[in-house]
Amino acid sequence: MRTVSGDPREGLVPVADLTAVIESSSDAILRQDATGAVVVWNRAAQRLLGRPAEAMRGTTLSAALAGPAAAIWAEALEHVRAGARREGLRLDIRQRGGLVVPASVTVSPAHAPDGRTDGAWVVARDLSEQVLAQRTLAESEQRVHQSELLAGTGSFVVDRDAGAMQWSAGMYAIARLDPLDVEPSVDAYLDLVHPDDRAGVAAAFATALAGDAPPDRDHRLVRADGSPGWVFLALAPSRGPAGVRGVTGVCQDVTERKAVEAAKEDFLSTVSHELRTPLTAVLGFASLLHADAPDLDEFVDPIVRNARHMHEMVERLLDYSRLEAGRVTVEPREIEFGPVLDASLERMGAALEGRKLDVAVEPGLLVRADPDALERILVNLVGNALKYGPPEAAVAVQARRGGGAATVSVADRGPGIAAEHHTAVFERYFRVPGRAVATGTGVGLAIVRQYVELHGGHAWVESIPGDGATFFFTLPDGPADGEHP
Amino acid sequence: MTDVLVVDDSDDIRVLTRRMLERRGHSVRAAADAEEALDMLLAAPPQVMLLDLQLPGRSGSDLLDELRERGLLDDVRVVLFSAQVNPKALGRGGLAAADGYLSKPFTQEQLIASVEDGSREKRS
Repeated sequence: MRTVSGDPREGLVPVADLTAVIESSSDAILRQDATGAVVVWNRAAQRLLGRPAEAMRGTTLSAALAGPAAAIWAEALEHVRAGARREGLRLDIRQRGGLVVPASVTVSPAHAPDGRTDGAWVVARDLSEQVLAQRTLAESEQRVHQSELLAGTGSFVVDRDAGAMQWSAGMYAIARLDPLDVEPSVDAYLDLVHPDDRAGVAAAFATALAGDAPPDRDHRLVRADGSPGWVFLALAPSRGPAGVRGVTGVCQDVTERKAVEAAKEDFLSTVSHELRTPLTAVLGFASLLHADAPDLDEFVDPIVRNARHMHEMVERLLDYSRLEAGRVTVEPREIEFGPVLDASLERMGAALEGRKLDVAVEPGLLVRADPDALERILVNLVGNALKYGPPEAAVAVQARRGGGAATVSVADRGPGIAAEHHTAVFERYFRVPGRAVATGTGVGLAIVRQYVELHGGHAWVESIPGDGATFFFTLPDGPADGEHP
Repeated sequence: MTDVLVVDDSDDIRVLTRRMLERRGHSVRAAADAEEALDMLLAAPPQVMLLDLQLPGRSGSDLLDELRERGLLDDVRVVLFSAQVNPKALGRGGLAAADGYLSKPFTQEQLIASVEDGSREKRS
């Protein structure tokens, strides 16, 4: 510290100003004499020691220290007496009321007018808030870690420019990896992904790094110990002032959920198969009864109607479970379209009663399709059109060939669908907002899209709100099917 | 008139298919399992065999494999019928080995078409 002078022209601080600075400092500043007794102090020093002004003079810092702090302080004072300075001593100060306050303390020799060392200047900073903040942060991190372990989740960030990746503790737990055994990176993550799913996950990372949010996905995992698993992965680009900075992601271990889903799908599949054989007998014998004893139709018709309804529910159950499990498969072959449409309409039975249907199908139209899948597509689309169209208006079904594909359309005169929902209507569980909750599983159009895409075709909707909706799908001509000569 | 062999473990389905086909003038024999079907096939091969792959004991696919190896299928049109929704689940030996597929529940018209289309094909 420069010697204080009363003349500001010398560039030195006037004593009065210096006194004001000391007094207003948020750091505790005090001067102690050669015996350690406090002789000068500011208000912050009173606060730190928890003493009123009248109890300050003559007190010692040593008396306010406990345990290791006292020893550290004693040693520091030795250095000061030898003319040295000690900085950043981390001392716990016990206030008069008993409260212990963490402080960072700097102590320098003070000099008497004749130049000899005469006590010390002490500057101390109350670290309570800082310590509290650190502790809160540590506790918060601990809580996040605990939550991740409980929920089976993990998170990560990718820094695009540095090419680096940081994993939360939960990520290592999901992968069953020791943090010391791996250098986190996108490639290290991809190494854990099942080979069949790797390309899709790599593409999702590329999409996110390019600034778009890829769709959330479930993918298979081969853990570090070789065990198989499933994770849900959500990725989003993270942005800084200069654009995309990297990727933020969340993982959740969904292995158990997948096992339950598979068991559920197996169960639903078994149940519906088991139901099909008795339904065949009920419907078959009822049709024979209808042929042989038309006078009994009063009783036969309800049997047929209810059995068909039950059949439709069985099929819906299967649609639902297959879609949930992502296990929709088709076996396309060349078939005539007309009979499949007829079978679909026949299956719909009661739903068509009293409704008008305009069918315009090219005579003898051949399509390359799996007949069961095509039936599901038609039942869902016609069912939708009946559900949303007014009862007095006809539903129009058209099918024609052109451009190496068959194009089928189903049109209703219902409320229509706004353009922004034209893609989303094909997502499972999507409902057009603002409409009364519709009946059904909410998977009909998702099933339609999946089946159509498995045939190499495309499904879409054209609609002007207020003027009905027309759903289209294509069934491309494939190569001749060698399996069914 | 087509000579039809129905192989299904459900008594009711055997009776049903017999009744539906007989009133169209077809002659129908019925077997409840693979062994019985094999005996009937050896006695006199039918023109059309309606086969449920999910049989108790020896499976329908097994039966098909043996019949093919022994050259017993050369003049027999095989139509699978099954409660399986997904023909793929029938396995490669299933659908690939068959000439037609009829899923349950089927109507009288579908059943008759599967038998008569086949017999027409064989004649042509």
